[in-house]
Amino acid sequence: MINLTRGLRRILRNPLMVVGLAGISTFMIVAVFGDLIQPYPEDSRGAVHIDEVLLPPSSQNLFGTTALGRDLFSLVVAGSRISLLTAAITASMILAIGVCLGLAAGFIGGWIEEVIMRISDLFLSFPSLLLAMAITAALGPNLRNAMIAVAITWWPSYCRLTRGEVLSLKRREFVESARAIGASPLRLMFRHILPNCFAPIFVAMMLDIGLIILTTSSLSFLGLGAQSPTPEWGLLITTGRTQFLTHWWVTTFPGLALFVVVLSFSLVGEGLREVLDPRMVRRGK
Amino acid sequence: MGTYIVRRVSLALLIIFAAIVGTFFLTRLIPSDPAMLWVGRFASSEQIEKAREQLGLNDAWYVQFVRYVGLLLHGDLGVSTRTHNPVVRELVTRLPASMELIIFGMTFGIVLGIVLGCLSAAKPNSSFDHIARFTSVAGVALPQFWFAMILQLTFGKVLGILPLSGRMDLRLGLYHPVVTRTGFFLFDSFVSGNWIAFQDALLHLILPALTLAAYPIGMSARLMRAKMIEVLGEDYTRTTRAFGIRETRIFLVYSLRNALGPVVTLTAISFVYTLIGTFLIESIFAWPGVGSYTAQAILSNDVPVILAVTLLVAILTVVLNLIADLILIALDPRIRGWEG
Repeated sequence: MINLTRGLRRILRNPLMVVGLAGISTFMIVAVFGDLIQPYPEDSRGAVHIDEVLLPPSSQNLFGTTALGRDLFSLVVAGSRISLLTAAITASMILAIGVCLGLAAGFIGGWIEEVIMRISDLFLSFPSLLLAMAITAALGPNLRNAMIAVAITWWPSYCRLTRGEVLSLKRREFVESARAIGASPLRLMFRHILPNCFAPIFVAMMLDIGLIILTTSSLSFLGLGAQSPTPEWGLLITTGRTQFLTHWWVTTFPGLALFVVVLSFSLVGEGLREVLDPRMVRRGK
Repeated sequence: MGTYIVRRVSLALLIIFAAIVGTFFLTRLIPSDPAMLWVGRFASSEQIEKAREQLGLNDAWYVQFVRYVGLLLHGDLGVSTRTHNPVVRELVTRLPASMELIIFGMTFGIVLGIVLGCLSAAKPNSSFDHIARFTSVAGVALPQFWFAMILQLTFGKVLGILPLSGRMDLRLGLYHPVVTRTGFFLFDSFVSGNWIAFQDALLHLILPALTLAAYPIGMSARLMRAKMIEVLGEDYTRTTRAFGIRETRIFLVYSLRNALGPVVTLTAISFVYTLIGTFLIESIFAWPGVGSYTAQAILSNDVPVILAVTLLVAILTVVLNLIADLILIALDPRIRGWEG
């Protein structure tokens, strides 16, 4: 408990962390209550207004309108929910695969560990964006496949992380004593070892979640992710590519939203890592 | 230590082989028919059948696999279905443009990042430190494709001081043609004393290189700060301090030397990330390099090209990781000890 309050105070003393937390909260609120915030909800569902094409930002259209006359502010707000869902779903997939395999590798050991770890080495040797591009190209371009591709490229680092934690926890006294009183291997794994792996996994996920959003949007930007009329930020930027030199707002606002969200998650992740890294606590002060 | 290196190298070879198998089977997953792409949209079924025969698509998968590996060993990466040219030749002609961009961007990024990181570490938690750390996190979080557009908008359109895209003004090619020796425009024009072309090439390079530099800046600044703070807290630093050596000297000579090695190697690994980043950056800046070529190949489903680039990048990653590991061993005697 003392640790928790001290941790909280450390967090609030770090201005970067505070900025990041503010960014994430805003993003969450906008994503959840998006329908109430959008001034023209029909635009994010694919409505076209021929007479309102490429209007500059004004009090009617805060971020201006797109080449199809859609209100860009509504689209960007609607896009936040897509990003949040993308991030949540992809992260769950990554954790489901990575943590389970890492747990199995670390706890069981032997040839199972060897096979799992070599496979994850193989995946890690491909740069994630490139592998994701190849996979989406193979599966067909849409948002679901883009998320699957990102998950396939990302699980190995969580597998490694979990395995490392499990290896160090496996020999600890509380696990040994649980084993001595006859706890089954499954109970040892899920009741005693897994909960103690959560902190480092959580921090790693905070650092990664922004990058997951960024990678999925990059795939959409390349035409390999979300398809029109989905108001996905990367897709909004790529559709604005032909007009942005004469109508600056079409790419600037969706990109800004993407940047702020990714940045907020990275700032918080970075801050959390410093709070939890004992070396930094001792020396960084 | 010897056994460790042998194990490490054989693992690298194994991964490269697995990458070859992986890319081969990945293409078989791609739903489009290579023969159809080869002959184009308006071909008759006979022509498609002929192409299928010619490309060896009728053979069993293991025959195709053995042939694929055999060609790879001869340095043959296949023929592009879009341009019908050998992939290797197409990549080689575009490589200098990409290398010029990457070398410029990365060097600039790493140097600036290291300076930022050092200044940050000199006074941790000062307001400069907060700003520098914000910049370094922002550099990594920045959507490159968006940043590229913002730069184009600001410097190309609004201020009008830098060219929007391309590698050189088209008119220059007529009036002051560059004698191509290496394909590196800056080098070629410099050597032949073609100053107008040199200046033009340099101006064209600034925006894409700046976009590319964002990631290495963030990466190296963050690592440098952490490493410097760690080194400054080591016992041997305290000893040097006890010997009465001046603080600036401790910082600039003893600590910097110890922190620099790992930071440069680790950032060099991000080279591959930078390479992938060029897919997006080069297409936005119409830079005639490997990146824009690959991006085009992905959009037109040019399977041999996608396959070749994926494989080359995977091999490059494995080799770079291997080199980085070996350098780290050479630099840090402590690793040498416990890895056996």
